Amino acid sequence: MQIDDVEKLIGRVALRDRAALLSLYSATSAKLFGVCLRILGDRAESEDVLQEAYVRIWQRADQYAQRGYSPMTWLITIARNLAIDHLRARRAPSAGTELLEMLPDSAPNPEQAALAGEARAQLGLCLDGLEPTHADAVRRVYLDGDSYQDLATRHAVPLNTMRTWLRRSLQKLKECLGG
Amino acid sequence: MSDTDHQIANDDDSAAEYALHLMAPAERAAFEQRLTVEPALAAKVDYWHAKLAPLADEIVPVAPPLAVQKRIEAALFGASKPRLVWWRWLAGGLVAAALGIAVLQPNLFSPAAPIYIAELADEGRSLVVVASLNAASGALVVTRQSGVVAAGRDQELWIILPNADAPISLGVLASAQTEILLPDELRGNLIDVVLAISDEPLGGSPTGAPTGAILVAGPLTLG
Repeated sequence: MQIDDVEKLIGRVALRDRAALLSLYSATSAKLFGVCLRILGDRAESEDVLQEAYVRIWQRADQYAQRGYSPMTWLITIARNLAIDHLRARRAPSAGTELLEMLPDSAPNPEQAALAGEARAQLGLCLDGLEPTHADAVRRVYLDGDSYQDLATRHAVPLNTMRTWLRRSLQKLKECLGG
Repeated sequence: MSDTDHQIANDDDSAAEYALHLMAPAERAAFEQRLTVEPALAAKVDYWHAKLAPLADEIVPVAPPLAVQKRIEAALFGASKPRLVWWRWLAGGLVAAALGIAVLQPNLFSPAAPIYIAELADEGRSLVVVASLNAASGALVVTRQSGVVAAGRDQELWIILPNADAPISLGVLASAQTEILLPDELRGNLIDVVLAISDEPLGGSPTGAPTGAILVAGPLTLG
């Protein structure tokens, strides 16, 4: 499925087209489920969040056109934010390390690699320009849903230090990424 | 500044933290209020969404169990079935009434005037809304001629197509006069179409179907 198709489907979902929602689900739910699993590490909870995500997509599809980024990013952000909300509400150590280890290696397929090649190469270069622990913190926040508190605990620094640290890393990243 | 100094967040920091979902709920809600009125701030958030998106490439898709799709269908469409009753009835009744009126309209078949109108009013005319649609351009102008929006609520406009599964939202009526561009898909068939306004929470129906009372409704007829 091409990006344009996902965009068209979201447009039809905004018009309350139920068949379009099911097509969108078929095309995108595996990626969104992967996002939930990565953050939550728990299958049952990830299924709940996936359901919430598509309910929200149905409700908010009409707001999509206002955004300035790709339709997949919009969908992933909805699932990611909901998964992080669940993670924060849980406030217990992740129980899903075994599951995470069972997931296949994280390698993009060739098609994705070609599509996002330039943007990813740029981001990769700019992350490489940060100190490795700082780059790792950015990745953990994005991919694993780590909070400032999680990072502060991991690196054994005060919360405000961690906050300052990540903000500076993001500022540096922005200087590198430009735009 | 030493690393332990508490750094006050500027808008760039806040936009990145919002995009990364690092904010506490109260902070996030306050920031979202600003986003609705500050396009420059929203652009900063969009920047981070776009730039960080490649990180998601490394997430491996995992097919969810089939049961999840069934649960989503039940959550979204299963519960809405009882709601079909009011608007089916509404559509049938109003369209029948409109046909009676239509016979008296001398310019009904004038091809030069593809303007459709609808008057939506309650019995006591405490709320009167007039809608005018240019069928060629799809411009729908909705004017509230009398009545007010209840405090802390919104009025949402719906279009009900003949034989449709459900009313389709045309959006919240944000001011006394709202201009809406009718999507191409809806312009084709404007016969037997009803417009309705429902009372909804701020921002409109959270479910995609009307959740509050239907305040007024009226058929769309050739003007």
